[in-house]
Amino acid sequence: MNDVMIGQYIPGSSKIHQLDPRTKILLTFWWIITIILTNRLFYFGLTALFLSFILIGAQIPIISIWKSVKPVLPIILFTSFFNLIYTQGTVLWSFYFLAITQEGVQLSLFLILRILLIVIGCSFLTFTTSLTSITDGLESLLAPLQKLGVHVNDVAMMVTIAIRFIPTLSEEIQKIKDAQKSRGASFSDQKFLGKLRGVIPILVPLIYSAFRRAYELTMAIECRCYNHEIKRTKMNQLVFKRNDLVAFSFFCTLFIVVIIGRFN
Amino acid sequence: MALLRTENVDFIYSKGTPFEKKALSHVTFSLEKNEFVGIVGTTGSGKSTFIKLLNGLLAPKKGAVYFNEQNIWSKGYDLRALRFAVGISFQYPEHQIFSDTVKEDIAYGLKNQGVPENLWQDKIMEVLKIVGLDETYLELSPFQLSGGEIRRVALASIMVMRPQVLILDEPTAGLDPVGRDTIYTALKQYQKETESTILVVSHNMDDVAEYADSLLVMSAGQILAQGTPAEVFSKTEELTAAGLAVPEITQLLHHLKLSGLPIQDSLFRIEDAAQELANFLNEVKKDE
Repeated sequence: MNDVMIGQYIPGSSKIHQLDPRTKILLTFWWIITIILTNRLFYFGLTALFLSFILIGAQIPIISIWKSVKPVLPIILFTSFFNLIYTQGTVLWSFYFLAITQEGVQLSLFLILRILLIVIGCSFLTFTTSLTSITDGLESLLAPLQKLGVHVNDVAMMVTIAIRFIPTLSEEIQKIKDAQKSRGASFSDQKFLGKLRGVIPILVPLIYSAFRRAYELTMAIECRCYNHEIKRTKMNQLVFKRNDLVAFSFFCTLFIVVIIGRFN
Repeated sequence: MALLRTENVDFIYSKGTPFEKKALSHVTFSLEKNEFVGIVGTTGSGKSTFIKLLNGLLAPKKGAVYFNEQNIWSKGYDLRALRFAVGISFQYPEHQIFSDTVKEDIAYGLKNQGVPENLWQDKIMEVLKIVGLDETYLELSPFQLSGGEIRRVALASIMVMRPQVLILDEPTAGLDPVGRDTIYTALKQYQKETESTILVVSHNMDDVAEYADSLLVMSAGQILAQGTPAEVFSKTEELTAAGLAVPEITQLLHHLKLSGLPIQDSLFRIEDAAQELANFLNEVKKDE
């Protein structure tokens, strides 16, 4: 119950929410490849249009999209700025040693568009898929590794537990912080040593409680006779449906269009 | 003049997101000096949120909180000083202990308060005595202590700052009856010595009924009832509807009355109830 939105899953019942998590994971990768291969302004417009259809389809509020983009904005602007001034080519405008070239403008514009489209596209995976479905999907996609001796089930279980406990621990941090603040702790000391001293009263109880939770969880898991030799079945089996096929064909079409655009 | 009061406060978690949750609405409440108040309510009724507003850990979305008639969210108000005056001990305080020794943990508040080190020992010994521990505990690691002892250390670590208002969230959760009694005895002792105000949050009516001068009943983020324990427990139906039960002894008297015994059923202390029953039995004996 705090403002930290880990995983950012926004529950809903749209067509995109209902897609198989494997479809969404694979399509996310495919989306990244498609965007990297896009190299004309027109086709960037096309992919952006495609993304806006997904946005409407997934019924995600624009504000959430903005929140997922905001943290990467400084990095995008920073890198594109250096691209802008360090690219050689036809000079458009110069100021002492700084020169802005036509190529530089294009390169940095494309960089901004690429990163934005990729970040927004990828955030749809986490917006529309709960963390448990994502791990289910990953487990199923990585299942072939089982033959190589990797305990995919155990890894999936570990990942699920780790993800499951992020909100719990962040809640715990908040609680500990509140408790220490009530004893007059202030976390506004700007000096490094002061900061370090301020962290100890939070970190020690946090680690202690993480271990306590781990022991409790281990006990609970053992009481349910968990071990890797048993082949478990899933309550919600993953099945590709017609909509998954539709989604794949949409992405396939986009991909072909972009490829044609690139080599024409 | 109220020592600490809230005026029409509202609080909403995760405002503006799909996870928005209204925790408090229109809560007006005031605490006087030297009062012992109990807040009762079911899980999720907003009790814990409410106490976080009282020392400025959370800011109300609407309404205001006043300490000594000063709005704590007015510009330039020293929230840190407020937190020394309004001390909160949270649920399961043993989970927030981080020091190597009991002494160090209790001294944490003093250090933050800027109390000179030569005064620590006396202040620590004073509170240890209140919570019923002796100096042999000072050098022990908090992690070695039993549940009841560690809870008392945590309580001492708040008391040592001498707050004018001491707020405790479920101080006896998970303790046995003896542990529960030592905590409440310590609280009463602290109040007697410092004339401070004590606010105890609990979902257990029996607990607070015995010690509190007045009660505040919360349900779904609102105040359901407010008054002396006798006043509050006379509203049996409303309390039951909100998922709370009146103390067991009151229930027993209520059922005896319903079965036709001419006794008073608004008592909530075991001693009073025993007296009432004894009087009744004596009457019967006399009649025979």
